[in-house]
Amino acid sequence: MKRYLWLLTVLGMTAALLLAACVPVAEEGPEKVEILFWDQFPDVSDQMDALVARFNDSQDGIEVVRESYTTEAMRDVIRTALSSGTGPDLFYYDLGPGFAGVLAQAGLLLPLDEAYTEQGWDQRIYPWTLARSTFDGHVYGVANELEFIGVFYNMRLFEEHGWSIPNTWEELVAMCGPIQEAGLIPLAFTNGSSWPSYHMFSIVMNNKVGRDRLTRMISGIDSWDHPDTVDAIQKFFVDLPAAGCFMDDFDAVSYDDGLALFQTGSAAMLPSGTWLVEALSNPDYTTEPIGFFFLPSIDGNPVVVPGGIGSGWVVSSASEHPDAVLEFLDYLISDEMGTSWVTEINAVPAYPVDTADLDLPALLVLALDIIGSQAESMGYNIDVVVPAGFNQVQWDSFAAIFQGIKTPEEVAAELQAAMDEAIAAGEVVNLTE
Amino acid sequence: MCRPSPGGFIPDGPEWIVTVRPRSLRRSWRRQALPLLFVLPALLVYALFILWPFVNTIYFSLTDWDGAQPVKNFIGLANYREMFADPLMWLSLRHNLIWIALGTLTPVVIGLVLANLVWSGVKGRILFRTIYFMPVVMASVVVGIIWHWIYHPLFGPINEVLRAVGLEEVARGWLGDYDWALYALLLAGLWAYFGFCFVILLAALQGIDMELHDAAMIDGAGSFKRFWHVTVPQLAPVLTMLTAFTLIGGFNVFDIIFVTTRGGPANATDVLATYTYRQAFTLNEAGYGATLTMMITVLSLVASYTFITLRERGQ
Repeated sequence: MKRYLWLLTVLGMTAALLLAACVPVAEEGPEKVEILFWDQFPDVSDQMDALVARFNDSQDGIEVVRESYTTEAMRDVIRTALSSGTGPDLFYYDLGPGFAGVLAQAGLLLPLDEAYTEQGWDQRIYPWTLARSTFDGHVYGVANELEFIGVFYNMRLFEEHGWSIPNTWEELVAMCGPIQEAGLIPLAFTNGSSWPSYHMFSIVMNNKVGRDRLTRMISGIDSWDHPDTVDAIQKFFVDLPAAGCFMDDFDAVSYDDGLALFQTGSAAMLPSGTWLVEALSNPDYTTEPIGFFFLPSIDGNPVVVPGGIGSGWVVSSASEHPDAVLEFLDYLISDEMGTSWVTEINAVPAYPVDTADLDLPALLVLALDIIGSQAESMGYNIDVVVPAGFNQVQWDSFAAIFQGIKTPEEVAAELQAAMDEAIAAGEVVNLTE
Repeated sequence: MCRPSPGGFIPDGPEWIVTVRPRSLRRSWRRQALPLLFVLPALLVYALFILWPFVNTIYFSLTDWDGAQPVKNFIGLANYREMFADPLMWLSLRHNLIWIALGTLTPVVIGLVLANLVWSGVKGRILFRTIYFMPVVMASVVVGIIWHWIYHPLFGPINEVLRAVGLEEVARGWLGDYDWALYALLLAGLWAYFGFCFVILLAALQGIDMELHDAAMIDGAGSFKRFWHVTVPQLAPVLTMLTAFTLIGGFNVFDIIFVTTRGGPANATDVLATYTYRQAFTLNEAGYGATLTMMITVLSLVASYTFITLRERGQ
């Protein structure tokens, strides 16, 4: 009996399956092409999801699937993911020679020269950004999120104490004493995570040697092992801590803690970049009124705005749907998205955006104005355009100066040695061409 | 009748050869093949996930691969020559040796003492076992965050206590201090690991022969002598295993350093594993990274083999 029951059950299930197969299914639209998209916007993930959803809703044939990574996580997995063929079609990545340059030379990225002309991107994007993502004569990236570095200051504290924005390096150093006497931290610079020292080196070097010479140094033409480099290192990494401009144990305090001290009015100034505009202009995060100035002149030299590309969009050469990817990329750098980058993400895109009718935070307006007017003459955020080995020397050696185990002269020589090694390995991008 | 054979004498006659010897061979083959068949799946998994990557790592260490290029140029022993001339490798190795010297014996000794105390019948045994073992089950990232907070220069409890008792000059940014960062991390590592030794040794103590203890007590041995001469020798195999395990861990230490200091400041906490990671994944020197990996492997193998051999010889 049991055997018959079992047989009947099997027959019944088979019949049900056959019937299900014969029933006509509801007519579906054309199958959508799926694009895997990795970005580095976990902090504004909801906004990014909304931007992607808007694109998906407007499309019949393309479905973008977004995954968000931190910068570190992206650097850890991207090479393996692309090499194994499981990586994204489109991703957001550092455009420097040590990052996108390595992937491009390995043939893992799609050259975008044709796309630039066919889609008219060359008319839309700031032309100077192309050189930053050109390797072996081909453009591999589309710049996004321009940024520059300077000094944020607490306007309330400055006003209350009668301090004014310094015009020279000497004035800046002289401010540290009075600010300390007022019970405040003069500069909320911290180096617990080591990378902030990259940026500080950039702002001092831009003012010390100027844009043209820095271009030649980054391109491997002029030497880093020079008294001017030594002086720039000496000024920020030796003189400022000696003058009491930083907090105690600043090299063990994290970047976020330094930021928090500034946001809560415990520090008068914070040297950092425009990626903090959102954090410093949103009243949910910062109630203090914040202003901005560039690092003052050194030795009477003109102030050079140290700026660059945060990161950019790059396309996997293994993408099975390059046309769909380029269509989505075109959307990401469209006028419509330009406004969204500014208003929703608080980032400065790499192309002009009409902000006349927009209600924007004052800091963001300032950033947009500066980038709009000085984009062509901007200096460099050095770590973005140099090879990874050079950055590693910055990472280790500036911390070593703070610890008193290396001198500025030694570090200048190490920087040049790293540059020589990178030149020999063909990793240096010539920005003079 | 018998005829001589290399193995002795076998009887004449075709029947014997046809009917007896092959059956014996078949049985013998089955006897040998069957266990092999059972072991085969595990062997395949081992070969696929351990042996094959290991062989690949040896191969990569002989190339200039950057981790992305499809082409890997064979450069012979150049990476090995570079490694032995690399001052940062030697600095990292020195940090590993410090970690091993202080980090191998300490958790085993602490675990042994605590396990013996709990085993001796103290009340709240389960509570102690839970408390001591808790750090072991925490992810390294969590341990790193906890200790990052404990060592925080602005509001960390260590500095707060030091300031409260008038030792302001001792308070410092522990993880940012070139001279102290490694030892600060080592302490965090010990905190996260000694519970493992404790639990293993507590389990091993359950198997101690109490008759020997009673006999020693009758002979007038005090509690320390009983512990040293009766308990510890019976725990020798477990102590060997734990020490070898910790020793290998000392060469492979990575996660707690990576999540707290990433080898900084100024390489003060770099060990071979963090240095290897940086070479392979940050500086795009995958070939050189593989060479450093070989170094870690060889050191771990040699240290473990030497220790276990010496221990066995001592026994």
